[in-house]
Amino acid sequence: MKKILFTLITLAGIAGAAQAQLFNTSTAQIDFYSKTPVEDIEAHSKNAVVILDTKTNNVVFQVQNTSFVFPNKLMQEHFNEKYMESEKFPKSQFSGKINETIDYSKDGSYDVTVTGKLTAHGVTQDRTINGKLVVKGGTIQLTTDFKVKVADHKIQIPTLVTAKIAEEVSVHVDALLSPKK
Amino acid sequence: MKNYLLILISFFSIPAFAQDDLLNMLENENPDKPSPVYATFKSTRVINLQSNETMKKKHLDFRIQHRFTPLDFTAGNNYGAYNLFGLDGAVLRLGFEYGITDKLMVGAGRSTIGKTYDFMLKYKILQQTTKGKRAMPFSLNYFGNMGINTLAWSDPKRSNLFTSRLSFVNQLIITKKFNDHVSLIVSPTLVHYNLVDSVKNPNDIFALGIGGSFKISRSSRFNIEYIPRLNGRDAFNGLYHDAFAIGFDIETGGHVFQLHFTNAGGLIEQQFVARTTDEFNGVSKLRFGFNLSRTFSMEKEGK
Repeated sequence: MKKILFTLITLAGIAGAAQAQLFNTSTAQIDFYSKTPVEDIEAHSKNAVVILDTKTNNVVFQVQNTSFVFPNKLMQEHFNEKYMESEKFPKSQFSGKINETIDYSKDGSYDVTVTGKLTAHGVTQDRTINGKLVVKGGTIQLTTDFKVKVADHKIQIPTLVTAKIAEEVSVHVDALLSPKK
Repeated sequence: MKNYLLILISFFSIPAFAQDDLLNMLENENPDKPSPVYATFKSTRVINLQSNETMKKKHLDFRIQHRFTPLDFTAGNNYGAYNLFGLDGAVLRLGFEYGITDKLMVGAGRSTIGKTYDFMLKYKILQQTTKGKRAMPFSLNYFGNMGINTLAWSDPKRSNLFTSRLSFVNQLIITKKFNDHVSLIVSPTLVHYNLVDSVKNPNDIFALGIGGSFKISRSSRFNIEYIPRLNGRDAFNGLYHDAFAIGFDIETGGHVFQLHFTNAGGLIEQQFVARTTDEFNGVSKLRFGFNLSRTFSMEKEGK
């Protein structure tokens, strides 16, 4: 009996190691674009952190607002000082759950919807976001494009620059997750 | 046997993480890193004084600085109104300032007084960072410039040396942004003139610039500064006085307008730290002035 138990436990251990439950990255890319007839603005961060729990399908994203890099540094300063108020609200985040059933054990590509909460500028909005999930060679890639209305997050744009900043900002996310160590 | 089975199952089961657990995990693994404090001041100048701000790498600032003649409300015979409160008389500096790196800025300008060309350099030695374990509590900059006076020699028959035209400024700029609304500055300053009018008068003037910037709204600030001299206050027969200024910054995207009142007519340190001729003893002696700054990014779009 003892022998059988020992074997089973060992097997369980091996099985657990073979299939990791948590996947993460700290170098996910988030880009955003504001397009108006007057001015196109874009910014990029390569320091977003992501964790995906493959058992519960829960996924969380977080990015430090000061990590966004703009080609125009004056805009970068205004982004942090005037619009995101990064001293008060240093991070933006999304936490949600993937609605589809996904077989993480083999390679495959899925169109997914994620329902959860998007927090930016201290304001949380319920959102369902469409994205793509690709399982390949033990890694998981998450990509999504969605739009954020700046007014939804109580980010005010002074009348003087309304022509230059879009009311709706496009966000692109690309995260390659590997098993969490 | 049942017990064994239970134990067995517990080995197989994997913990489930709620979204909050995952968020906490992120917080623990990625704590707030100290990041550079931004926007201590709106512009590279507080008013007359240099601030700790520099142009970022590959960014060019085109500056137009104006100071008018004193308001002169009290000069009698409606003198102030006759000159539209000083607007009929103006001195000007045009300047280009450029960020070679995010820490090093160089610039050149030309101002009316003494037909002076100036070449300047500002370097960020220490950068204040946000709260964190190894946060830097303040910023420290070095500022230096050389002025070349290009007025015609007052006595061409005398043996005149080019070096007599030169003057220099060395300055340390210590700033701290206390919170979103308050930033303060202290700037020990040395101004050196290669030539002064008499051996009795000092070539070196030490001064201590002090000032503050107070945020009013997301796009505007109130600024104030005072630059007491530490030596030579009675030299030059008491002709010169300390510079004082009070004003507002208004920012509109790529432009910063600085509108102010000051008793100093000069636009570079050589002129306002130690050569301010009007004593600040009332509103009538103040001059209206403005700095206009337009920033251009030379960095390629995209990427």
